[in-house]
Amino acid sequence: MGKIAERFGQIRQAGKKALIPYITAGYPDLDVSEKIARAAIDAGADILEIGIPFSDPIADGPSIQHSSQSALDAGATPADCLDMAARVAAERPDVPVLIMTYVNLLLAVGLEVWLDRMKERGLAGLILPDLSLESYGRYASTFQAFPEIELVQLASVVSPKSRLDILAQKTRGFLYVVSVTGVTGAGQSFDLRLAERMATIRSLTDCPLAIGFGVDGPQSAATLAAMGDGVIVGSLLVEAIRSADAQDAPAVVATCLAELREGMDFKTFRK
Amino acid sequence: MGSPDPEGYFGQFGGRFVPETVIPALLELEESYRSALEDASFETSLSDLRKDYSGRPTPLYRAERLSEAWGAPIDLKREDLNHTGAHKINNCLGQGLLAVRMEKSRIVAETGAGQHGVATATVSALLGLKAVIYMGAEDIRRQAPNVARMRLLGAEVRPVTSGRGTLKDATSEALRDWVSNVRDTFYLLGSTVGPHPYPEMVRSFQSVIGREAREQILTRDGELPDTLVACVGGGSNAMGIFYPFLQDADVKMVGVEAGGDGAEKHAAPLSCGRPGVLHGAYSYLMQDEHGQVQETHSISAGLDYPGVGPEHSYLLEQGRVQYVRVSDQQALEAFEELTRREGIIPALESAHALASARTIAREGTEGGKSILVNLSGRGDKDLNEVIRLLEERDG
Repeated sequence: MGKIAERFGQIRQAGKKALIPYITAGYPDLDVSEKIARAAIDAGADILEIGIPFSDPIADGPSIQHSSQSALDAGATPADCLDMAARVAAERPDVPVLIMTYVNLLLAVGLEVWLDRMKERGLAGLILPDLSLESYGRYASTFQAFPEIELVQLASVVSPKSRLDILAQKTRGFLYVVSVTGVTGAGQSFDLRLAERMATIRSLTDCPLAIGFGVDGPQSAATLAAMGDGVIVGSLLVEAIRSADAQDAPAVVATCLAELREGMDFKTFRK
Repeated sequence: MGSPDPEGYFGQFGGRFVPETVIPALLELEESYRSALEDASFETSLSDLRKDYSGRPTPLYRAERLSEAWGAPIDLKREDLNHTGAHKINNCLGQGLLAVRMEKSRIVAETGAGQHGVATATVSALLGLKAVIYMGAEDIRRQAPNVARMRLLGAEVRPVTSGRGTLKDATSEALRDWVSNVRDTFYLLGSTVGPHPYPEMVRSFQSVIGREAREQILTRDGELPDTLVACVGGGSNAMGIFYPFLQDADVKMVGVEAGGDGAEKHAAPLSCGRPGVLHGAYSYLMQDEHGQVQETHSISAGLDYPGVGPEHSYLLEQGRVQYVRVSDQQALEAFEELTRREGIIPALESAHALASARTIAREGTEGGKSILVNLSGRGDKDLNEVIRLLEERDG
């Protein structure tokens, strides 16, 4: 079992739900983003998702597009971002670190080289929103040569049952359920079919289900937490960082996560 | 050679590198597209619209004065004479009918030069569909007449300011819109790019250009041309004319990329890039060492794109098509030459193909056979930009 799956096991055993914050590496700069990552872990993150900025993030809405472009403008390179993620992962080995990025960055250096770098740096998993099931096939054997790195599949509310079944079988660590038909961004209303889809997925698999896209505060985090095993929150944090001064950003993120944590745990407790 | 494999790969190029949310929509699109191809009534509707609405077949015109000046026979496939002034309408009629067949009420599209946007807005008006067109802010500036046309036709034009505000960014935004509205929206992609089945489908709707041209030249001359020349941005007009000739081994083919300033600033992924993933397909791409997509530059908004259709990457690696670059200045000269010698004002995109044809003509053709240039569009949309550039050049 990989680190992420193991971590979910512990969280389930404790009767809790996983809080998975996303931050963009290099935003507002590399140094501050490292401090934000540490603050996020201290504020109660169970798993941390670190985004490596790509020039054309087609699955992301305006908030993460902006953070990615700012990070690139400030000179963030994929190698520096991986090193930053590795430092954070090394300090807190109980919190697995996932890398979220787009497939072209991996292909540019070579998939094997990239996965090897992640393995060397103790990074636990990978989310690639543009590597669909269909495109995964050509690279499957390379991914399988790196069993330490858990490749998380994304499921959509519009995925038919037959695809959900395959996605649930292929995913490692957890299944990432996208709560909206849309791109990342806080404050979108969740798809009406989400609860029904969650029930379908749950009937197909025991693997942990984490829901992301659209979380805008403790209330929505609590609602999603009740439906699955974990909640992923990104754009909300990125916006909080954007409106804060750089030196305050880690504290702002910590406060935001503490509120989400409280909302999720309260709801879980009441249930 | 030809069709992609069932997963949408031409050799190693193509595929479906998009979020899961749109994969079911792509599968549905592919199924509808294949069933439409087997439905005689779809073919009839399409060919009626091509003939009576768009004005096909477009003429094959021997440009005598240009031939004399350049030293070899030059034929022009007059796609500029289509309704809306470019080849883009061929694809929009096909996809528009498909959208109706799939009962989608809303169309999204990207546009660079505005030709695809105008064709989309036109077909949407014709078929009673709501159209939302994404266009880069920089392109809105340099292609103002087309923006006005789209709005008159009832389309909503949404400016895109992310990135550099050109075709790449407009395409990303159209894709995001599709991801967000996938249930009722049809993405009317304008070129042979994007995830499978778009490259194959757009090629199929555009290959009417090559089928007509092949028949026209055989009827007139009793022989095939020496060389086909077409400009390549995403590559739809080029695939449209090349595809029906691919089996004709003696016919040479030249795809012309935007060479920009002739040095560092260009939009020529096949000549200068390396394979990568952008907008859903693995294909040649202008990218830096880290895999970040690079900025492009071209005088022509329609060619100002860092990627290219996957089938072109395949034809490059197969050696079937030769890809060359033409600079902004060379394209501008060819624009002036066609205008002055033949009374035809070409689109700046098509002027790139003409500039390359001039070079080929000067080297001579085998047995005096012709050079067939796909004149993909007319230049009305470029007048302001060309006048500005000529004043800049000539002082």
